[in-house]
Amino acid sequence: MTRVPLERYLKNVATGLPETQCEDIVRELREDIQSEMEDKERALGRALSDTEQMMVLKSRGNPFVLAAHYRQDDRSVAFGRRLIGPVLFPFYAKVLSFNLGLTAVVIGTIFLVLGLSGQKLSVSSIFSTCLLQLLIQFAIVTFIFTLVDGDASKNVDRWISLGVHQSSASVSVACSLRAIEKQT
Amino acid sequence: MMHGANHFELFENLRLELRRGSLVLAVLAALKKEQYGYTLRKTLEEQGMAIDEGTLYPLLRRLESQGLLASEWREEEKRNKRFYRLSADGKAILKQLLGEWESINESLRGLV
Repeated sequence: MTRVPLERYLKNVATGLPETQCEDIVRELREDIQSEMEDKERALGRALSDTEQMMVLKSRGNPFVLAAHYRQDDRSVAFGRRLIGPVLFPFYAKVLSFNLGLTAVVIGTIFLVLGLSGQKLSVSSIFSTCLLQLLIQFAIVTFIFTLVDGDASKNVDRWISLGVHQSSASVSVACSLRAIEKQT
Repeated sequence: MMHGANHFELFENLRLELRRGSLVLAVLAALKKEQYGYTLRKTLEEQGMAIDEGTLYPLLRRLESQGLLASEWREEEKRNKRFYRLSADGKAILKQLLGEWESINESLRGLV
């Protein structure tokens, strides 16, 4: 029997797992949670409703926090006090590298076009523009994640209603996505 | 005098800290007999060493990567389960750790 809330929960866990062990960890977690649900069903003498399944999952805690327990590297960002914790850090790193990469490409293209159209460009002006833009991007992304982190640590239980990953793609797809991300 | 809630929180933190070190000992000892995650959790709970899954499974993985545990996927009751057991290295370490634990207890008894 497939349990929809369970699969959704596992998919959320998978997004934060180390890619090499992703499938294996998910398989073990599924087995564990299913055993607990079956124990409850045996005791009740009937199948668990979706709401009751959600209760079991809720007792397991936030899937992103759970995934963070499996990561050996507890990377975080701190400036005096903690700004971005280890739970959000992988997402922060992903967004930041994407943004910085995009910014670099855009600036590069602009200067290339300017250069080709015969504009005179000094190396120092290119350098300072790049640096400034990248710094701005860095500051914005970090600031937003700091806000999210502060909010998330205050509302640890809210994830259950958020229902991230409502799509029908399977958990193994979520794990493969992690592996692909790693390669690129 | 501390406020009730404050006192409780402080005690709770210190208690968790105290138990955390013993968890590894409990897990290693329980795995002298081969078990899979769910039954291991039940065993620990019955013995008064309840541990939440979010801590237990990552701990099992860490102990396995350190060579103290061995694991394999096997079918039982028509379902695939990952069975863990103490490795030879694990047995040796457990013995040493138990010795350490005894000596800590002895020292504490002398102090309190």
